[in-house]
Amino acid sequence: MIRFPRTVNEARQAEGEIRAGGTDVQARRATGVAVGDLVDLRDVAGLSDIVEVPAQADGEGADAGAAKPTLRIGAMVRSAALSADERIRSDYPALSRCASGPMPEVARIATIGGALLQRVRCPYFRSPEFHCLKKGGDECYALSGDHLQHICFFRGPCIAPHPSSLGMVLLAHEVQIEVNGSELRPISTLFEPGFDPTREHTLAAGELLTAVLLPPAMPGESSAYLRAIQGNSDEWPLVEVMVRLVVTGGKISFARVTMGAVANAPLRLQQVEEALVGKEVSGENLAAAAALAVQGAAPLPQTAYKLQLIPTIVLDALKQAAGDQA
Amino acid sequence: MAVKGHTIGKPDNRGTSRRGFIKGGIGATVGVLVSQGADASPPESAAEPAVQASEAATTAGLDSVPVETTVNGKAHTLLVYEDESALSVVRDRLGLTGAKEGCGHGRCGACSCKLDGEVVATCLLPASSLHGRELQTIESLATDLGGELHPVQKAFLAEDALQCGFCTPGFIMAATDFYDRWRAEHGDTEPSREQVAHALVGHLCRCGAYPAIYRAVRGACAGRFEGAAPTPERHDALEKVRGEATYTVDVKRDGLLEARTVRSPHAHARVKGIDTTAAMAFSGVKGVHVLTEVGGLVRYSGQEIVAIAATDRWTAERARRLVNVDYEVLTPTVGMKQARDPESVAVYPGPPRRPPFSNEGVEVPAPWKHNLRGPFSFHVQAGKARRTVQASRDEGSNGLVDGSWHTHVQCHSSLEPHACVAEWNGDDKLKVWVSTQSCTDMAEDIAKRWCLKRRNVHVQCQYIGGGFGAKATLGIEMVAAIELAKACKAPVRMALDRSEELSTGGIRPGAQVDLAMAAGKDGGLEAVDITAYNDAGVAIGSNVGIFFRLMYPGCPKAITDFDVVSHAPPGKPFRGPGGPAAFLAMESSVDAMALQLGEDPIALRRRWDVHKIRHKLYDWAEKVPMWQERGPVAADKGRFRRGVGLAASTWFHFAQSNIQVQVSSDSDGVTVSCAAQDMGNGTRTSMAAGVAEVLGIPRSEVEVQVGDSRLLHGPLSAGSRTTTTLVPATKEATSRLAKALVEHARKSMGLEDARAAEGGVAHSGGKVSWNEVLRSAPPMSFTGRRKADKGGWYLPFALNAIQIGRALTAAVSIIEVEVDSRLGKVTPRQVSYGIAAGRIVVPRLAASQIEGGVIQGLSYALLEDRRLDPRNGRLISRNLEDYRIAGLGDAPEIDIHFEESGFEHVRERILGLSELSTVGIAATLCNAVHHATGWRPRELPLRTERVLKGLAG
Repeated sequence: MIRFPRTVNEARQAEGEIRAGGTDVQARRATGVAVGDLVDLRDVAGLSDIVEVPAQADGEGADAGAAKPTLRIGAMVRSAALSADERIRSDYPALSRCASGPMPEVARIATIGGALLQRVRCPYFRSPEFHCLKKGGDECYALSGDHLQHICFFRGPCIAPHPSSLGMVLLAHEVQIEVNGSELRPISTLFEPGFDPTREHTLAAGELLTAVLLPPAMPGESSAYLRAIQGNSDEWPLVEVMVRLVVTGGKISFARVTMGAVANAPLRLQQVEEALVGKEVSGENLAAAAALAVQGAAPLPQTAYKLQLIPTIVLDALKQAAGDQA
Repeated sequence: MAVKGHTIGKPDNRGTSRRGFIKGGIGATVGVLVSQGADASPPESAAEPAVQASEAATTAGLDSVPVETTVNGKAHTLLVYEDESALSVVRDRLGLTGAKEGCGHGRCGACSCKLDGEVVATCLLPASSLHGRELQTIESLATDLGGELHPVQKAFLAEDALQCGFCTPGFIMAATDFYDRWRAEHGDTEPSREQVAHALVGHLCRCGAYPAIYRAVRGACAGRFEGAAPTPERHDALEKVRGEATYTVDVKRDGLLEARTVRSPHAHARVKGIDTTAAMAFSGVKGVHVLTEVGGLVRYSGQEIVAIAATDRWTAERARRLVNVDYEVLTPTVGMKQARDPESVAVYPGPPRRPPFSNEGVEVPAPWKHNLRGPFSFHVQAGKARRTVQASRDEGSNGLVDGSWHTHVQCHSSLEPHACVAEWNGDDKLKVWVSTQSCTDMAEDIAKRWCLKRRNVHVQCQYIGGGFGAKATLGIEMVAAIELAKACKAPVRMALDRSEELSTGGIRPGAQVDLAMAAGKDGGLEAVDITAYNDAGVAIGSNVGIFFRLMYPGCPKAITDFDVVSHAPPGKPFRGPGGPAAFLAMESSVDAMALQLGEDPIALRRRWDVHKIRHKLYDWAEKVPMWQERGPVAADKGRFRRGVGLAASTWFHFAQSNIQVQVSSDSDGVTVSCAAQDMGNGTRTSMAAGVAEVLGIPRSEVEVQVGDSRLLHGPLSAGSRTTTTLVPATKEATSRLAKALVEHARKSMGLEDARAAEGGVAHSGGKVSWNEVLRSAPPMSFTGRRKADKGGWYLPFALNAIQIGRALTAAVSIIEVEVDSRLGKVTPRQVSYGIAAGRIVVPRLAASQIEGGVIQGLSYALLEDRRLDPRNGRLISRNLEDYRIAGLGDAPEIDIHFEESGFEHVRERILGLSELSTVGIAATLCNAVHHATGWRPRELPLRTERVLKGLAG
């Protein structure tokens, strides 16, 4: 059974798995991993635009008439459309880069909502032949089997890395998510590592992610999004990093660093951010901060190598972001 | 539930040995059930509940939803299934088969079409998303351009940016879109390689046409293909760039049913029961065919249990999930290490009847011990070799290289899966469309298996979307399609999906090679001791050791191979079977030896190598700039380390002597034909070239017919034998035709002193063209054969129709790599490939094939990684996301040098080069990594964590 609700309320009340762009759902249904009813958001109005929400008059930017607006990005906005949006390209270049990939033909179908709420890429989960924890089974086959691509932080019962690159980037932008068309929550509440092995996010039944509110970039901000991959083509990352920096007078005045593909949720690396703020931009300072990115890591037998990748890819991203302002 | 013998009409078992005929696979056919529709005859036995399914018991089929959409400018109102893809709508419902399904999960790009002007992956696009929108397929290009080709299509023709052509429509859709946007923004500025790679990321070409695709896309953007359409280098390129080439998956027949299979998830189990009741009752299901009988043993995860035919594949897929198979799950033996443990479960307890054979050529008997089969030896003074090596070990000689090398399992994963369409005409005539490397052999094997007259079996394979060795035998897809078609009295297609292709579609066996190589005080090679353990799953017959007989001769050699069987899908021959593992061990060891002896790697090879033509390649290699500029080992100490490696390699010279080529003429021109097939290797083009060489006319004027078993006996396209077999035969037949035409010119046209000349018949009064002679000559036809080389064959008899020639081809490859020592990443930067395979018939196509071989070799060494769960043997890398194949961004610049001298005794001096182009690549790459870093890789692929571990020491 498939339903095509026309409003957010209809969609919330409909029984079945939500299908937005379908790039994740279709792949799982083709193998029989996903079955049952579908709720397709194709006809729900108001989810497909990027609109400007004027800055609050009583905020810090009240005196600056030219303050940039927050962008409300509808959950059904296509990943490629977000990437290509002029406002995104100019003010959020790392976000634009992340949303463009990994394959343009897929990014033109995939939606922002789907990118945030997609299921894990763990091959055991994606195989119909394993009834794993994520499917409500009682065993993590990856833990006892093959987990080269898996987590090296937060050993939840399910060891698949969180799949959302976009979620990691938006976490660095401290966006708010809009639920059911009205309620706003910080994106950090969407990802709660390890809380429930069968889920990737915290939305309750009947809750529909309807938009993301992207606050204006910091004045003078630069950003970088990098991923460590084995080859040079279309691949899921082994580690990925997002950095936002503001450098004022040679010193870092603002830093946001997030990391993906290493834990059940995108991670914000506050220890790295704290080590950066107030420091001069120098190779040593950036490297010292990047080295802190592995703090708290708990690698699995086959994922210790990711701890070698992390300081390097974080430092690369820091240098790229800082380099823009040098 | 035993279902033996349940067929409509005659009993299924006609006394042929079923197991024996599935050469490359396992599984016995035992029975067919047919849904009892209005026109179905009752089964012979009424004991089977599934067969009793009445109309009333038929359960509802799939849910459908209405969709109004426009495709290529035409409005359609359709009912589509809820899970159906947009790709299925255009291919199956609208018959627009230009877009292909390569992977089905958005990881190959073959299905790319334009949705409201944007190129999208239609395999992941829900069909219902087409509602109210407009889709354009590759077929629309011709209409939009008034029949003209797009500059990108012209560029693909001119640069030969395709081989099998299966991925081409997807590339064309993405590249034309990139071209349009690029030209609008940048005019005719040429985009960089990186920009092209970025724009086309995710598009996969299994043949590895990337270097030519770069040239084509960059050249088109730079405005180099705006003029008239070029004459294609490749004979069948035009239909491929237009999406008009019809592959087996594209074949259309009235009432065509689609089949899917139920496979065992268990690697080792006994089938206790099969209940197809619910599946048979599902609306749209037409028949079920049991492939592993109740009581039968499952020996690998993915083994076929039941095939189901239904009105379409979505229905067949859903019905597949309704089949209930009861297994007695047994402990599997997973991986070579466990298989060699005497405590492990034996894959073949007792003497095995006939395990699948993973190699080309002939199976030689060998003893079994538990899961170990062998030894299989190619010794030369084995005792002396081992004593010399041991003495060298004892004295701690500097002239000893001793170690183990591990290669992994690689999946063929052709972009067109194994596929077959079968259609019976009565009980005794059968038409089969199949993606195969041998339409002649398939016609013969099918005739034998189903007890039909050979002339009543018509096999067709006009286009094959990649072969590489796994499509050379009568496979389960043919068995299922033919049996179901017979039972359902309707044409049936069976096509594997990507996970099936990666599971049972064919693998290159993995290997462990233990090699010791001892040099004497004078630096001469004194002894080689090699033992190889081959992991081909349940299959046997792998051979790595033989290559040590082909190179560096003149010293004692102990050469031993073992098969190690385990509960994994059977290995099949894969482009250069045994070669990559052999050359990795051999050429890494030679490289190490040169270093130990303080000698230049080429200088050492010059001393050890007796192959005269390879010495010419060493002359060339020494002048390759990246080799000349090469510094000492591990010169770079920073994060990024560059290195240059070299390896030599060789391949056999095989030919097939039982083939015949026909060359005929009429007033329209000359036609060359043979029941050969073109899987992207250029068969059509080289046959046309054979005619063109004799007559002195352009290749494009020659009509070529292949891919049809009704033509004269064609070769199996395997073992690099096709060109060396077909071109001499073609030339022989053409020479006979030319002679007859000259005779006609002399007698009927009254030309004095008539003689064959370039482009026509020369005579005392000048020259007339062949076309002029043909206009007045009667239709004529001549055949040609592949005669033995001068001096005969290596063996006086053929092995499986293969003649072993008295020649070895030669290659020397050089690769420059950059190693990111912190991210554990190896990036090949440039490749120079020197190759000696005699005279090159069509240089552009030969270069394409070599480029493809190099890229496949790099993909193998760097990325491809078939992974099974270590405990239960199930496939983990079951899609192209988890089984990664090199993309455009992974392809380095490749420069090819042909050394065309020598091989005077070989017919036309033409030898094969497909396998040669790939077997030495992993070794070359690993030598480059060693040169860059000082770390010598011993295990493939060069995964991130292995590189990091290796560099850490």
